[in-house]
Amino acid sequence: MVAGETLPAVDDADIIAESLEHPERFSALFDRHAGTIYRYVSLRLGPEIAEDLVGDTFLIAFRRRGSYDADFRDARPWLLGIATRLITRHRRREVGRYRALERRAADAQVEGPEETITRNLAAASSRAALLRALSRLSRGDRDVLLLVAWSDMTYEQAAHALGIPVGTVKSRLNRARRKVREALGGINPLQEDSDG
Amino acid sequence: MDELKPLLAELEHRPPPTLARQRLRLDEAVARAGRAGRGPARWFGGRRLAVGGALAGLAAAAGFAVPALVGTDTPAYALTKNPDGSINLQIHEFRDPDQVERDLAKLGVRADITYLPLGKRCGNSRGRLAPEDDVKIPLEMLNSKDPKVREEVWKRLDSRASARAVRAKNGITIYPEHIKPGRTVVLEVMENSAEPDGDRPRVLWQFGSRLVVGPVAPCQVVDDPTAHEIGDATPPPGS
Repeated sequence: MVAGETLPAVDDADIIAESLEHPERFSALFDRHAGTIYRYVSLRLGPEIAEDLVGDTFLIAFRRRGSYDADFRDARPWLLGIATRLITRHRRREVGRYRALERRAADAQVEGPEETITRNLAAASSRAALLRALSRLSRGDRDVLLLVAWSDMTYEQAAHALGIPVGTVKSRLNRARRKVREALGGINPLQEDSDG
Repeated sequence: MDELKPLLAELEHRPPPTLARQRLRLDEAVARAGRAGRGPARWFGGRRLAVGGALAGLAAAAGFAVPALVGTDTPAYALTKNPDGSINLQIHEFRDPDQVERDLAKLGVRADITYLPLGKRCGNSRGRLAPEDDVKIPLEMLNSKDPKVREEVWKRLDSRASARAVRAKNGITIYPEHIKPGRTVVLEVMENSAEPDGDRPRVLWQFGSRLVVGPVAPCQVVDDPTAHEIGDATPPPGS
């Protein structure tokens, strides 16, 4: 999904198509993408249940491979979409995780030279603000924000992943961005026109 | 949005080695599906050659493409039976494959020959692959650039019955002793009709072969963007 990335000779859609006749080939998809799915699930729910959810994601994907849209040569949006729907069932855990991490960020003790302290405090502060914002976003807004911001998905891929129209992706993303921006106050790491 | 990434990255965890357990779960489901029969959508078999395409690409990339062909005042092709029982096919013009098939049949070889312009290939599976021609190569191996892995890929490709039965030697040479009864040699020959410009090497023609049991479906022509790759000029081991 990164611009300029070279796709391998055999892409994900090929593997999925192959697996219709040769189910064992589907495991290649796990080898390619299980790490990415794990990192995504662990970001949202923590490491405790992430492993099981990765397994569930691939089992569901395997069962649904017959309806895969081969126009999407990269299967990550599809897999991340399945994982997102599984994450939704653990909403309370997700929000609880952000709040716990927010408290930890707010209580962070920093040591060292003054310059380092200032920088670390600023980082901890923006981290706490982001976590607070994430815990307050609606589920749909959070799904879109995290998919697009974390995985570099295009709007079209996010729409495909979540099974919603592209226009909905854009409106949710705008709303989520605005809320995170407000929460971050002057820090504003999301301003797109920022010159850095 | 890029500025948000480092903050989010701090929240994620590294995949642990125990994630392999989840692959076992998937493997078990996959094995059950395998035992339950073929995949859920055989109509999708038209894409089966996706790997075939990759193999063709690999073959071209590794120098499998065979430079050939001069002269047009000769017959379209020449078939010669060699003392060792092998049959040599030299194609001078890419026309009348049916006649080649008939002549090969007289020599005891059932063949299905398709001529294609370079840049095209048959996108369908053509028929049921003979078991002795069905090689298992994991996709990770096909994608690997590791010379050792590539060598192993070539070893497995060369272990196919069709690799022994149809070789790129003096044109194309067919070895009937490697063709079991009831098999059809499915041969797809791709010609580059563009005039050579002499400035750079190019693939002149290449072929793909396999052994099929039962009926052979007509070729459904699709694009093969890998066809013009000259590759890294590393010939397959043993060639």
